[in-house]
Amino acid sequence: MKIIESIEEMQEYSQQLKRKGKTITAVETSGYLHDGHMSLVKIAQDIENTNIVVSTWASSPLNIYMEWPENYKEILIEQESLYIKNSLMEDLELCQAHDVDVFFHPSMLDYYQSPIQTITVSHDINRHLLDNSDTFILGKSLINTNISYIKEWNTICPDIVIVGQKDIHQSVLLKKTVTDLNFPIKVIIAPTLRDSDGLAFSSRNKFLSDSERQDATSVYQTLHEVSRWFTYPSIEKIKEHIIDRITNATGNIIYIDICCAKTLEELDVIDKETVIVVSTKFGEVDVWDNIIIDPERIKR
Amino acid sequence: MKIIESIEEMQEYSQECKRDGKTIASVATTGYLHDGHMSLVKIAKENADLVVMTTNAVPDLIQFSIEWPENYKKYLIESEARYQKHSLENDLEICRKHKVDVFFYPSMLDYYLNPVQTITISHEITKRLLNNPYTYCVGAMISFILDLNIKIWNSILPDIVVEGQKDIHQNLLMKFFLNYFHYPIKVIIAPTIRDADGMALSSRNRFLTPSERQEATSIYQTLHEISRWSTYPSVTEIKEHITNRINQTNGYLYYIDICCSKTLEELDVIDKETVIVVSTKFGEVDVWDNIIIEP
Repeated sequence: MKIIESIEEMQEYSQQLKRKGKTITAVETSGYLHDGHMSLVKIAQDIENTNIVVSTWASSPLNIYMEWPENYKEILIEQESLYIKNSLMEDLELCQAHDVDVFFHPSMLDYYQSPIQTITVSHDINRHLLDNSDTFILGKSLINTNISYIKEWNTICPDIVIVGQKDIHQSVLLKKTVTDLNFPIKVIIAPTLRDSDGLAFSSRNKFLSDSERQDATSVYQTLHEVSRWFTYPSIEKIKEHIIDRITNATGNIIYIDICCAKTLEELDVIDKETVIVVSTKFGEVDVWDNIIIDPERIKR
Repeated sequence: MKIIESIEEMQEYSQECKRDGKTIASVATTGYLHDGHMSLVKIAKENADLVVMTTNAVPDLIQFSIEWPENYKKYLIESEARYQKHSLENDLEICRKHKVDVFFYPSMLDYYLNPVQTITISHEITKRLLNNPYTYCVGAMISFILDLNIKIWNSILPDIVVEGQKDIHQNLLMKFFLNYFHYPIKVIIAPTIRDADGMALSSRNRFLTPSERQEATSIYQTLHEISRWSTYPSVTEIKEHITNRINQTNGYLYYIDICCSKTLEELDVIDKETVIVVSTKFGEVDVWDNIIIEP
């Protein structure tokens, strides 16, 4: 496995691979890798004649800020050394074990020479998230993450990008950015990897106590049940149902977003492929999940 | 000369060329080509194996609207038809004559499947341009220009883009954003082509009367003189000097902008590479020019 730290070296290496007639498949992460990420790598392994690049700075921890603080460079350096101390070695081993070809780990300071709010890459489809105080931070961080990804696409020059359904808002937005701006990239949205009890994989799960963990499975159970319904009531009713179920299991709801799976437009009734996104907290731990439901299934 | 109309075909052709180890330089224009554009082609040919000329029949809509109307496709189709009728044949011929390798001429409808709202720029320069009524339009269209350029870069996948120094604000900004987004693309800013009297070449110059034209040469003269100074006073004093010189003519001064050539930040003193942009009107004709000075 090749380890690349410089943006220029990554660009040159990509050009080299392309001259040899190979394609490049990128799995872009924020580091702290686990089996969920590796399930994306496995999808890449099934693609013929491709080189797999795993990157670690697809999004910055500062992306949640409306305005990047003036000392943002210090914060980035701190985040970077934390990552190097706590996760880099494990991430390298995991990638090596999964036959990743390139581990791309640039310095954050190279990526963020200027703060990110200079420019915003946003979509109408993101607007309803910004308009709602519960989802505002998500909406804002998506805009900035979009920019981080454009930076990475220009560095890795991938032919294929594999993103997870876990971050469904982000994945749909990235797909739209690729289409709108003509990036020569194919985006594959990979299904969420789950434990046997249904809980979606996350590096945060290890902080759940045993009872919290059991309670947290209510999130997927509820979503899964809803996806099996034969008729759908109004969006309001669906939200109420989910809130009841999760609150009964001692979870705190942060937000529920029900929107069109293709455009992220907010819906009043479920008349097309729809995604239900639930963000909750069990104890101190964020647990989020989503499911795509297809009303056409009922007709079949 | 290869003529390509589809974005996918352009991308595939570029990738094929790259696999063969060839480098690509692109010159992006809005069509209606003249000798000024061909000076960019010449520089492109000197710096890469293949030259792609792209003409984009962008409607005025792109320049002046903050939000696109719902029927925006109508405007795209109209401006495309206008371009085909008035300039396409001529553009093809002049490109063939200058040995352009690929003429990339995508349909605007393919570029704008959706109205542009994807990108907004809140760079300091935009605020400055938007705050001045004379530069408002330049400021307002920057987001659209960036959006269009990203589409062009992603379609042609060039190694080098050649831009003219004439539209300096726009080009420095594109250079800034190419950098910002880490595009593996090098920018060459080509010097402005001038007539023997120093006037920057422009399709508008023909509307100047002989006396207006003579007065208009004072702009370049003034800028050129300043570039020869051995020390620079404050930016305020430089602006005063230029204003005085232009006031001695019948020219009307729109604005003078003095900013860092890398970041486009406004400067108080000239302590780094600086660009001085002057925009004026002589009679009914807009005359603008700029110069880059190195302290």
